[in-house]
Amino acid sequence: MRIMLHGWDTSHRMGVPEICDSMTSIVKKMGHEYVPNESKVICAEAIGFLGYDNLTDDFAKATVKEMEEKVSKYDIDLILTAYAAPYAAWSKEREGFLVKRGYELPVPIEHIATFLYKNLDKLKFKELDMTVLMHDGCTLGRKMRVADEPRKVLEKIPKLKYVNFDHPELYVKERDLKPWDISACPGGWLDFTLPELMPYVASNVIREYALPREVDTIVTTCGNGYHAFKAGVKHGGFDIKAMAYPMLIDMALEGVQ
Amino acid sequence: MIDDVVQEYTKRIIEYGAKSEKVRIALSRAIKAFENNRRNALGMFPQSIDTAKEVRKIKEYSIEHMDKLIKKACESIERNHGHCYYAKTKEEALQIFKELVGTGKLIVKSKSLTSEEIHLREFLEELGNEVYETDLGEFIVQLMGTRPTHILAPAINVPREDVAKLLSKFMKEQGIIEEDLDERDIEAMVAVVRKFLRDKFFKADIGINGANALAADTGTMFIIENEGNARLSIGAPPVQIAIVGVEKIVPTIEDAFKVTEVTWRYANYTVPAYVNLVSGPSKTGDIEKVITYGAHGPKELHVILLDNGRTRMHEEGYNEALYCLRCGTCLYECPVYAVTAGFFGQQYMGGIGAIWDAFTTVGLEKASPVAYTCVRCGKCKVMCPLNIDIPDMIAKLRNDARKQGYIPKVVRDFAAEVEEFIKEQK
Ligand code: SF4
Repeated sequence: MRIMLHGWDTSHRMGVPEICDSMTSIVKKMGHEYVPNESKVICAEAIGFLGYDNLTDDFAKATVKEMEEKVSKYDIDLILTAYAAPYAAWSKEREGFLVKRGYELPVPIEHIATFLYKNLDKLKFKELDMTVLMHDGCTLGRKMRVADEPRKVLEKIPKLKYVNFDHPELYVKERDLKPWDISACPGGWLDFTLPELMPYVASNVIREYALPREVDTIVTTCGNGYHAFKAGVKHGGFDIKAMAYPMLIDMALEGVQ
Repeated sequence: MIDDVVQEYTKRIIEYGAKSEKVRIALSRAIKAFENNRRNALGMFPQSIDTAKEVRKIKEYSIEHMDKLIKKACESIERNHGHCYYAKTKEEALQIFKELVGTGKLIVKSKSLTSEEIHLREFLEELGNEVYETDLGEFIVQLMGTRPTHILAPAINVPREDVAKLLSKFMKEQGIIEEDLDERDIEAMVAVVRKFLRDKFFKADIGINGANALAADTGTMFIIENEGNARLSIGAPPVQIAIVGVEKIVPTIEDAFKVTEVTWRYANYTVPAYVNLVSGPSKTGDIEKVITYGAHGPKELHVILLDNGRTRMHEEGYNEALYCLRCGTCLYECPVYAVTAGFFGQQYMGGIGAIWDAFTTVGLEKASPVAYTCVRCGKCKVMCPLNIDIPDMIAKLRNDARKQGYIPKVVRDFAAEVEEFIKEQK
């Protein structure tokens, strides 16, 4: 398969190229070819909730046009992303925001977690003797309910243990809240709206929710969230690592059977 | 100009909120206490979870029939020998207060966000009245000369050490104490405020209160509290004036019970110390069944129903904001509020506060940076008893702000890049 990696520009612009590195590595280990999508395209839903709904349709059309060109030029089979927003906007399977608005990408889009889950039988992992704190991105977990998939993949990694990010025991069982309902956001989107505030929010989320759990790594399914956690770790001077979901997977993935 | 507004707001939220260790520590303590209390309250009374669903329906109906309910509530209040007023704007409300209160009065006030919305205390003070906030948190905020930073716990960002210093200074000046208060001794701090305010309750000419709900069919106001200050403010002075937002009106007294129950449960009380129900002035018929007003409580009751942008909120599609019970859950759950307290907001607070600020206090331009402080993570919606879709309204508010040219520069620049991309593709 030839896979277009989406979110390339965003990752580089935010100073988290390691997301791209791990995505590239995973794709290669799985025996696929990759093409980075270096354009500024983000999901056209985000521009709407940033206050520019007037650009949503034009942006969606422009995105489709660019994707059609690239798909035919590079013979792309799939678009893959570590970010939740483009998946939430464009996934046909999940009836994404823009799909409902009548737009369609020329090939399917997957989030790295759903992609790995769909290939779970084939994946070969080595042991990872560590315990991580699993953070569900707000869009992916709370909004889209994509929470089992990333966990099932983690469960396949020998020796790896994960604990959920929040303290579900603090909530009332009658409300039937899931860990992904209550997962606290480290404020990744603030980078687009009030960047000065992001490190404070992220470091406090780490301090309040992650440090008491006695794990050495936070792993998040949200690309923006990783960016925020990374800034929060630095800001707080904490002795804890942050990882984007594909970074952790890449550490364990050996290849496919 | 929007850029100046954003700059001023950013400076405030970063300097006084995010950078303050005091704010962070105080909130960390408060949030943990809140989580424990909520677990107890809802664990013990899980039926409130279903009642909340009913309350959502009650609120939906009430906001759709606001005009009718205002009329009915006023008729009920008048029937009970109270006086009812409708104020379309903040200015109209303050004019009514001016006429009712005049000058030179001693006034005790219980906590009311609606009164904060119109800067009532400051207005009455300017008229030459002596006004005391009687909720302990509000009293602290009044002494500090700042503004509340949580809708339930107005001084949530002030650690006990600062409260001790503040009260020591003030109470020594008032001759209530001679020695400084011990900063570990919260009980002593509470006692000294009790001593000071007790005298004011009984000397006051007027008591002012807000309400958590108002039943249109009986004209009954429901006022939840724990300290007992509201019932003293309501009961002791000869004149009572209430200021109630029109969104608080629900059709029946049964509805109002449900609204208040859900409010206090999600505000993390198993049961509050007091729920005050007030339908009219104090009266007795104990001598020959002749109804006489002003027995032990107030002889006069005035209820001012305040619109001040609420109808417009409804007309412009922000209905859900009007359902808000002010239970405070969304603030405690918000990761941004946890480091910024009420500095995330202008007068109201948090994501829901951005909507309220836009329509009722500072207007859309000043509410814009508040809307852009919300990360739209959606935890508030999940945790809100009425499932109010704050993220959705924030997106709408940002779009409204854009139409008026009230977008922060960092977002404008990003949108310009997107426009460039669109042009290239064309
Ligand atoms: S929006 Fe919901 S959670 Fe927040 S104060 Fe209002 S009712 Fe409570």
